[in-house]
Amino acid sequence: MDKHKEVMMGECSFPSPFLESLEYTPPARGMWNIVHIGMLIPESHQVFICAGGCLRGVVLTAAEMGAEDRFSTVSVEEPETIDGSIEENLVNGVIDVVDRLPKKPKALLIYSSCIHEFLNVDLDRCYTLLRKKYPVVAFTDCYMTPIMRKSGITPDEKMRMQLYSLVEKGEKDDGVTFLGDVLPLSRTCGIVREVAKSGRTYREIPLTKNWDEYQELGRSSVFLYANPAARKGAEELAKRIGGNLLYLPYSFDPATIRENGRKLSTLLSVKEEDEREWEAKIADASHLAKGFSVAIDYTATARPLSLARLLLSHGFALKRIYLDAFGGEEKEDYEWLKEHGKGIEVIKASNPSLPFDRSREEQENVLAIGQKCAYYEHTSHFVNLIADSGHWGFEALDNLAAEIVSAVREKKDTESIVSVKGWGCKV
Amino acid sequence: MTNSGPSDTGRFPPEEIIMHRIAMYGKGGIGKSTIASNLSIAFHRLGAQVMQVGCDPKADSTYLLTGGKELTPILSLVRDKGPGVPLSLMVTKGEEGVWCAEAGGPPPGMGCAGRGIVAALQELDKADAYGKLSIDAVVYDVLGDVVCGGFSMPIRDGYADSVVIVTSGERMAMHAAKNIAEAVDHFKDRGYARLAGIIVNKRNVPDEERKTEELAKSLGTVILGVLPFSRDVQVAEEKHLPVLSDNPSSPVSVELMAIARRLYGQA
Repeated sequence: MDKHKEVMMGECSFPSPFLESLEYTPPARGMWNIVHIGMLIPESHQVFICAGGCLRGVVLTAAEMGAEDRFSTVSVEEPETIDGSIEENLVNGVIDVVDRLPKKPKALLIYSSCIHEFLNVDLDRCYTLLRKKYPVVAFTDCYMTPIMRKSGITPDEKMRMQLYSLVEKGEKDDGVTFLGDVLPLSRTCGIVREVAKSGRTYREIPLTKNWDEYQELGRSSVFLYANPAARKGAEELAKRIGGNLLYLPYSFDPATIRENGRKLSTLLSVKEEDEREWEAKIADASHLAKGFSVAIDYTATARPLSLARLLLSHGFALKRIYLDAFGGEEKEDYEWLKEHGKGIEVIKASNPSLPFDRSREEQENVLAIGQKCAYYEHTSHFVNLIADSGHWGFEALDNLAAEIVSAVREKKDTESIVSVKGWGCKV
Repeated sequence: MTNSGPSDTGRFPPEEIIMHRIAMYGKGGIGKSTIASNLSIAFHRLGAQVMQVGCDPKADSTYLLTGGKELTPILSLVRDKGPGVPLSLMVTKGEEGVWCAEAGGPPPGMGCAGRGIVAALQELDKADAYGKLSIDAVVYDVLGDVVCGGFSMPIRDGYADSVVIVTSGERMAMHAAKNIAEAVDHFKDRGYARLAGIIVNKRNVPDEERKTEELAKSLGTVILGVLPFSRDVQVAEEKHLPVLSDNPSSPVSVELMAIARRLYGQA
C-alpha cells in the first residue's frame, strides 16, 4: 500500500501512520475555523492583518456567516516588509478600524500572520501601544500563521486558549464552567444534568450572549473540559484565575465514561447517574445497519479510535478510518484495533488523490460518520457529527445510536450539509 | 551581576551575581567571536555560570570554547528532530565550563538567517535553558550588524540587557558601529537592551585610539577597553584556545579580564 495515503490498521505505526506529502482539504467544511471560534467572544471584533491574497478565506468565512460587522482586515503590502513600517501598519491599521466602528467593541481579537513572524515584529510593543490608545477595549493576540501549524502549540489549541484569555478573575461562586468546545453541550448529557442536580450554576462560552455573561465564566470555582485540544487553555485559565480543573475526556468506551461519571459526581458531591440503556440502542442500530459498510473520520470526534472500537465491538462492518495522525491519548484503542481490526483501512484524510480514487457514483450501502468521509465515500447515509457536537458520556452513545438509525433509514443531502462552513456557528 | 564589584579574590560573591546578558555586534571579521569567547571565560572566572550563544548561520562562534569541535546548530536539530529538541542536545559544556550553543541557519544564499535566529532563541526558551542550567551570564555573539528584525532579537526584552560593539579604527568598522548604535538608539523607547560601550580591537591603523574615542563620544557611549593587536591571540587560536586560557598573563588577556569586570560592574 502507498504509505502516503493508506495503510492497513494491522500494519500502521503510532502516532504517525503516514509519510508526509502534499496535502488536500476536501470541501467538507463543517469544522470551525479560527474566525468561527473567535466569534464566540460576545461583543468582540476581529481584525486580520495579512497579505491580501491570504485574507480571502477568512473574509469569505465572515461573509458567509453574516458577521461582516464584527470583522475587519488590514492588508500588508510589499513596501511595509522593506521599509520597516510593518509594526506601524499593524498599529495604525487597527486604530483606523476602531475609529471607524460605530461603537467601540468590548474586545478586539488581532490576528497577526506569517509575515509578522518572518520579520520578527515586536507584537508586545504593538499591543502595548494599542492598549494605551484604547484603555476600555480588551485586546488579545490571535494568529493566522499556517507555516507554524506543525511546530509547538497548534493553531487550534492556541485559539481555544485565547478564547478565555480575556476572562477576568471575578467574585467566585460555586459555579461550573465547561471549557474548550464550540458547540454547547447537550442539555441531556451527564455533565449538564449532574451540575443541575448539584444546584450549581452551569456556564459555557457558547451560551454567553454578552460581555458580562462572558466575564461570568470566570466566577466559577470548577472548570471542566473534554476536548484534548482545550487542555492548554483550560490549564492556563484555571492557573490564572484559580479553580478546580477536571478533565473528563470524550470517549466511546463505557468504562471510561463510568470513570468520568464517578469523578464528576465526587467533585460535585452528587449521587452518580444511573447508566442509560445505551447498549440495547447500539445493538439495534448495528442490526439495522447490517449490509452497510461503515467509514468514520477524525472530524466527527476527538476520539475516532474510541469510536472505531465501539463500532467494531458491536458488530458494525467498519471498513475505513480517515485521519492524518492518531491522537496521543488513543494509544490503548490503537493497540486494540491493531489486534482486532487488522483489516480496517486507515486512509490519510488530506491525501490529494482521494477525490480521484473513489467512485464518483453515489454509494448505496455505505454509512459515513463525519463530513470528510461522507464526502469521500459519496454517500447520503451520513451522520453529521462534528467534533462530538456537544454529546458527552452515555448520552453520546444514545445520540450516536439514534443518528445511525436515522442515517440508515433516511438519506441526507450530503453536499448541501457539508458545504456549510462552521456548522452550528451563529453570530 | 554585582553592585559592589569583585572581592579581593577577583571573584564576585555568589549572592551578588544576578543574570547579566550581553549582545555583541560589530563588522564581520572584527573579532567578535574571539572576544566573546574570552569574555565568556572571564565571566566564568568571576564566578558566573555562563552561556555563549552564537547567532550566526556559520555556527562558528564557540569553536574556541570547544577545542575546535563543531556543535550541531539548534536549527539543524529542529530540522532533524522537530520542535521541542532536548536541552542536552542544544548545549555543550566547553572550555572552563562555559555552556555553548549555536543557533545556526540556512545554507548560504538560502532562506532567512534572521528568522533562523528567532526560531533558535525561542527553542532555547522553550527548553528553559537559562533556568535549568542556572545561567548568570549570557553572551549573544551576533552576526555583524542589526540588518533586519531577526538580528534585533538578541537585544529584545527578555534577551540581552546590554549591547557591546566591537570595532577597530578602520573606517568600515566604525561605520558599522555607528549603524549598530543607531539601531539600538532607535529601539530606546521599547525597553530593549542599552548600549554598554565599545571594545576597540586594534588593527594598528593611524590615530586609532583618537578615532575610536571620538566615535564613542559621538555615540554618547564609553570605551570599555582597548585590546592591543597581539600575536598571542593568533598563537592561542592555532591551538583552538581562547587567549585567556592559553596565555592568561598576556597583556591582551589582562585587558579582557578588565573589560569583563567593567561589564559586570555596570548593572
